Amino acid sequence: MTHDHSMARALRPARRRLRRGNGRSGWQWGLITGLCLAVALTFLSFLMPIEYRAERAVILVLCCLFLGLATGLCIPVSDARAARAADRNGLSERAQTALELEQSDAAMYDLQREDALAALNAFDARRIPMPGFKHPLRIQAGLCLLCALLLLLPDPQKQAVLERQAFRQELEGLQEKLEQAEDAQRETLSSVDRAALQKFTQALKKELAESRDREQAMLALSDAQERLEAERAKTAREAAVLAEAMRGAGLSEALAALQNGDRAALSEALQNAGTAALSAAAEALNRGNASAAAEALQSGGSALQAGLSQLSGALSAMKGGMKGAQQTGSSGQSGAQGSSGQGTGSTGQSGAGGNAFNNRQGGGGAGQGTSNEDAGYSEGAQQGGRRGSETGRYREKEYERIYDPTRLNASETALSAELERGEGDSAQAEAGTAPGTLGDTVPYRQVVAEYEQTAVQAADRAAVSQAERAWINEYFTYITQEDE
Amino acid sequence: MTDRTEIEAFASRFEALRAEIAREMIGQEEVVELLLLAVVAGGNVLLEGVPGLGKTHLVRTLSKVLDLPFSRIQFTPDLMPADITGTDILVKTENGSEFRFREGPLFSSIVLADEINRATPKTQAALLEAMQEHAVTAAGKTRPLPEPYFVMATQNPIEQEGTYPLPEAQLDRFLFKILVPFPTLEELNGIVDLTVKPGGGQARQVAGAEDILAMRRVAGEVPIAKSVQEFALRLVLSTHPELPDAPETAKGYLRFGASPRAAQAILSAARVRALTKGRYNVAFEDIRFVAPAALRHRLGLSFEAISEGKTADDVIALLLSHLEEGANAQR
Repeated sequence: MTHDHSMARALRPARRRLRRGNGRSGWQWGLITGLCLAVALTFLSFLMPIEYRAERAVILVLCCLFLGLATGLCIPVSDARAARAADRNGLSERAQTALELEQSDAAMYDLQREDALAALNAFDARRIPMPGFKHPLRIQAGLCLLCALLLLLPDPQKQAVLERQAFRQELEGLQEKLEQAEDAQRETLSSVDRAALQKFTQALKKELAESRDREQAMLALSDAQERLEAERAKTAREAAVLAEAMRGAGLSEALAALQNGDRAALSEALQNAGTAALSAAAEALNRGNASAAAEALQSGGSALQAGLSQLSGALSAMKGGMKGAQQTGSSGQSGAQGSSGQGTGSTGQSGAGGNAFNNRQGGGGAGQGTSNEDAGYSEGAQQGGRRGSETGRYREKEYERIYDPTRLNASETALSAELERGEGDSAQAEAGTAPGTLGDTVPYRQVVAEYEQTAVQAADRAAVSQAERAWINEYFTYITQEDE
Repeated sequence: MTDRTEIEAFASRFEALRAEIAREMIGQEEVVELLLLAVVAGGNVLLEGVPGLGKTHLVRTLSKVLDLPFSRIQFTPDLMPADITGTDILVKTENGSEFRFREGPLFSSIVLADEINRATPKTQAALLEAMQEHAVTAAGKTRPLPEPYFVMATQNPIEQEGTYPLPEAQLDRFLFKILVPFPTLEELNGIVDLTVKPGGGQARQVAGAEDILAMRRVAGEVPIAKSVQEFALRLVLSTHPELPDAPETAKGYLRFGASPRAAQAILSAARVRALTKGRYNVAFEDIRFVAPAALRHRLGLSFEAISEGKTADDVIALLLSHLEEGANAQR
């Protein structure tokens, strides 16, 4: 006797019937569960503000209904269960016995199996009763009624719900404004500043979106405002340092013009500073003192150049700070585009944080030519814009100490540049000789230009890849832009 | 191992027996069916009913249709064990005289123990070995009884002077206790017609000892599903009030419950009934059908049950419904 699972096949109609019954039970109980949850939700809406409670209740009911139906249909129906169901409905335990004896071979068992198969084949699966509608229907109707009554009752939380909706709309408006401000800034900012601004605005948007009430939203705005104020204060400190430096360089008039925003006056003041130096030189020449005249010219020129350089950096810093304050301040959520010192320069060595970076004139790429770490560049990168004023101080001293002696007397000094490309990876190239003596103080821009030229030439000569050459070019483009 | 023809012939043989008995026995279909079930299952039967209901006639008819040796013992208070088992008697032979065992009425295939509760417990006890082991020990020698062997006892339900209730140990040896009800009007009419008028029906032999033994062998192979067997065993267990999970019915109405022999009796009789119904497996309905006859004489009713007028059948019906509720709840 071969056992070909004929019992399983014969039980298939009974299994299908039971599965349908499971599905019916599933959706009925799912509906009851959903209605219970809907009633609970509606009841809860009397205690706390719940928006769209009717819609949510309907969704809850539908979800539970379909979940119940799916669960019911997915419940597997075993052969044993199908056999029991068939036996209860007229098969007199034939199916169960045959199923249990499927592996036996005695003549009695064969007869029993044949008898069971014949009975199953003649069995109408519709005799297996489906779960009734009556009882669950009563419960469902009762729950429906209760839910409808609760929804029809006046909602004591209606005002709170309306307020919350209004607040949400207000928040959406704020976020829209924030996006507009960010878009407007995007055009005028460098990539680093854009990233910083985007981070700032995203954090603010997130905080606003997460705030559940007005208080939390105000707290989020207040935090953002504090951060913005901190940026402004830092900008002001840096401007004060600059003003002090300009005064010390005899550029008080230029400083006044700068503070007034008068371009013409600024230009005139700078011209006057140069003229005064020339006058002193002429006077010395008239006295026959050539060396004094040269010294006067040199000091005048140096002072003028230093002043111009500092002025340029200050203008850039003030421009960025004022722009950020104006833009974000006007949108009502703190602009603060110049978050300081994020250290994400494309060359991997610059603390590129907005104002701080712009004021750190002595930092980026102003070394003697041996490495980026020279001249405090690395420190600027690591500490970022912490320390816009600190970096400026550092630049001023180190700049003069490092460059003056060598550049005055070492016209044939060999330069080398170690190009850092990341941790544990570096390339070194001969940079040739430095240009001739330019004076005991050398303007930053000039040094940068020379340095760039030397570095590019060295890179062209050296056996470095095209990508590394491009990287060097990018570096100088970057620091030149920052300086401007 | 039995072959298919033997199995398929079972129902027709059984039906022939029933039909032949019905020629002399008017009505009492359930009694006849239970009696035949016990015969095929190989058990002894205790028939209980008021005098004149045809108990003795039924047994006599059974012996006629089966063509088996039949003996009748009228139990009285002065009946002695040797009177039924047999005894050694001194017999004169050509060489002198010697003791020979003279078989008593127990040495028949069908023994009718009429009014068994009128005999003393000592004599009643003489039946125990014959009923259980189908053997008789007399004068220090054990002699087997012929197969098939049945003891059909009758007793009157009415308490009378000079009766001795059967002890539980002896009652337990009876596969069934069959209650013979009073006939209905139609049945009584038929009885009168059959017995008073001349030329009444005469039962004929339709099966022999070999047939009965073959039917018993076939019935022993009928399969039982686990759930069905468990149902029967749970039913027996539920009659024990001392068990921790006994139903309230048992705790309230029963003093003691049925022995494991009851479970054997239920299952073996249910197997036979399944075949008689054209099935090759035992169903719940078979258990429900044979359970009262197999259990009613094995239960000890409590004072509470007696005072409330509950019979053993009432208690069994309550226990069955309790079990079925539990089974339905599990489904």
